[in-house]
Amino acid sequence: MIINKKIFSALGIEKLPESKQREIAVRLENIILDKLSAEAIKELSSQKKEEYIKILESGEPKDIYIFLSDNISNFEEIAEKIAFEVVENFKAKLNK
Amino acid sequence: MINIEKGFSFEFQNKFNESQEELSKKVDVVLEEQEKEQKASLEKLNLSNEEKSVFEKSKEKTRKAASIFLVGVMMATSFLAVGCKAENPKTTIQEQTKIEYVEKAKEVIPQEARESWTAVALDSMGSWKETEEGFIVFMSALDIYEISEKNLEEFKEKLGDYIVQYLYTKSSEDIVFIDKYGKELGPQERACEMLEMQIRANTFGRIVKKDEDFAKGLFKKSSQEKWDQAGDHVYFYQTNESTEVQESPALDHLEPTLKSETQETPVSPLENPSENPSVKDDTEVRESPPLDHLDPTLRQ
Repeated sequence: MIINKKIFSALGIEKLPESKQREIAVRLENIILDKLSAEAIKELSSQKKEEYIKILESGEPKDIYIFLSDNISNFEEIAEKIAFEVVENFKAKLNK
Repeated sequence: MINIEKGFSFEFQNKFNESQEELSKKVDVVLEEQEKEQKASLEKLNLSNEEKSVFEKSKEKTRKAASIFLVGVMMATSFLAVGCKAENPKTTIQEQTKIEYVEKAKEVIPQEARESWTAVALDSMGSWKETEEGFIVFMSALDIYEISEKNLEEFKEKLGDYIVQYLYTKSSEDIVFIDKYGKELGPQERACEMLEMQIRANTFGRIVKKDEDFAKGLFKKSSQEKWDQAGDHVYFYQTNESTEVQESPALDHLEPTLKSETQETPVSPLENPSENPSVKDDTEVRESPPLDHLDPTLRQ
């Protein structure tokens, strides 16, 4: 779980039982990670996309990580942007 | 009086439970909405049905891979500070938060773990030799780099900081993680598993090649000629009680695809144990390091 207890209070969910907080963090994190893998596809050329799909099919997480590191130079920046957006979006919707 | 207090407490508890329930429902609605939005965005990716099916089936694998980027982001940038409601994390709280975080990680992660993982990470980057000015590392025929002794110390320090932050971050997470063999891992084992994945993926070799992050400006491109002229091979990973060099255990299971990156002449002794007299046979029992949970010697 990357979104850990340290930021629960910032998310406004610290009043909830711990099990619920964990469930929320896991769901939120999965949204970020899924968004990130979708974003990877957008960044790749059609030839690289085919290669990526093959790696998804038969490779290990390590192979996926290597492929993305090698082929998308600013992937960490993209990860930061997406993480920020998802968390901010959650906070904004919760406070509506 | 007692009754009034009890009544008040009961009423307060009821209200508290009610507000918890409301918040919980609201959170579920918000998350469902975000999950739906995410699914809808997948439809816009122009994937064929077959590709979509692969994408769906490999979700867990992709999440694991993507999480490595995300942990890096959280440590290296202001994500943590953003979570802590920093007003302007990029310019104000970020640096302070990062320093505090590194200091906390250094306190929690034992020095022995830092040193041994740093050594394993260095060995994983390629073959190392000593030169008159410092060291030279052979990653592939096209990727040979030199580094001065002073710069290597700086690099080791920064690499060590990264490693303790990584282990600290991943160890503080309390989710259960199942490894590829179906074994349930605790947070510390999981932290090591993830770090090992980065090492095997040659993350640190790549940051040198790209001259970025904590390697920036520390290495310079070198040549095959200089490599040939350089002195003895150097291995960073050693046991505590002996000066005898051992094979880096974290590299025992290097995939052939990764091996090929460094298999051009000269071959790393780590990958060709027969050429390295100091490398021990895999079947030999190794000394147990002081830190069972965090030391790479146990990660076999």
